[in-house]
Amino acid sequence: MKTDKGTRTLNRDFNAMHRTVECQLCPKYCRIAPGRSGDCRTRVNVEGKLVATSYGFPCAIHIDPIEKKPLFHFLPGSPIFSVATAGCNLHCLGCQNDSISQVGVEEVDAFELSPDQLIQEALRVNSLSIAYTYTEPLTYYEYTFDCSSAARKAGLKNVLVTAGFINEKPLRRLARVVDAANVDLKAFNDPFYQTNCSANLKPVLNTLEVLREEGVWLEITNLVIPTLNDDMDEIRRMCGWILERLGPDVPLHFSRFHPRHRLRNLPPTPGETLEQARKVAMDAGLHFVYVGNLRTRDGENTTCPNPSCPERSRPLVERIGFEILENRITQGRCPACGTTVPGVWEKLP
Amino acid sequence: MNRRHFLQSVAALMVLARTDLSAPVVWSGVPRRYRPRRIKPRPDKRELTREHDLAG
Repeated sequence: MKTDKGTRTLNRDFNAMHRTVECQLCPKYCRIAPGRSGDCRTRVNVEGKLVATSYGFPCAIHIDPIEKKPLFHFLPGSPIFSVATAGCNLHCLGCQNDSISQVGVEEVDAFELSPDQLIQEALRVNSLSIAYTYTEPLTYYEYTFDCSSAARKAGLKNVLVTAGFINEKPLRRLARVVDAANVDLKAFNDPFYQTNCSANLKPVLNTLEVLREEGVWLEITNLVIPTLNDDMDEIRRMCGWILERLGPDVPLHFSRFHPRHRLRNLPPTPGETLEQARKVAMDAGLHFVYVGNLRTRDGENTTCPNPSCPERSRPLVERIGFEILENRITQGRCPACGTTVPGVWEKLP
Repeated sequence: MNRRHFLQSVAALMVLARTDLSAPVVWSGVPRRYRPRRIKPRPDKRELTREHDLAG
């Protein structure tokens, strides 16, 4: 009998590791040993093959107003069939959906729906579009892609609500079947991403540019967390980057933080901070800046981007929460001055 | 470098050489242990439109 402990351990490690696979979906490039999962908890090495274990098992399905995603310039006022599977490749300390995003597939109850069945469900409830949301749709990439392809054939639109932490090649492939995306730009500094999200900023910025290039309707959300990412200079730099790289017409949503997960020690974001951030963004030159998760006087309204519009003070779209009180946009234009308001306002045939 | 370190280095090189970087992503035949805890019945429309506390 061999007693050389070192050699035995080495052999065992070698046997366990020699069928390691590398997941190339996101910039983490997880090297996954047999029987183990990647950092997202859903992509597992089963006998040398990378398995998307969440495929076909959405754990949350709801019909939401599209304003909840938030998307303010895409089919406003329409209900959207929203799905999620377990898992996320980020581990944000302030995650608002940690009960399903920070767990593996085997830890939550789920529905069993193939892409075709999912589309049938969406059509049954007369939804115009499907949102891949709540957790991270890019970790259940194959399911998102197959559902999106089937949805497009059935005449439905596809919406991603994502943190945008993915490699460029799979993103470009997915972008061809996606119509709109809301990307969560969590902060504009890399140390924040490393410390609070287990991720990096650069791939997220690349995602924003790629989605724009691929013609996906893009909106950005920035969850403003007190003391962590509420510095106005940083917000100014972020807005400058958006303006320069994406243009002034990308809607930006400053969202209010609620204490959740591992940031229960922090207070909710004060309303004044969100208003201040909105002012900074509008002063920087962005046309459509909104405040979310908070009732304000006009923080959710869309106004005409033309500074000389005779009815500029009157909102084009007036909202309260997720409800639209009035939508005056006519064929994508301001009725008073005829200026085009960027967005997808009506479902095309 | 002692014998153990040498063997570890050789093993590491062998691991790298045999790592399958192009393994296809599959989802059929997934062992039971990776499946959801419980399969829920299909929701009806009333259940789908009920208010919930998930963000996004």
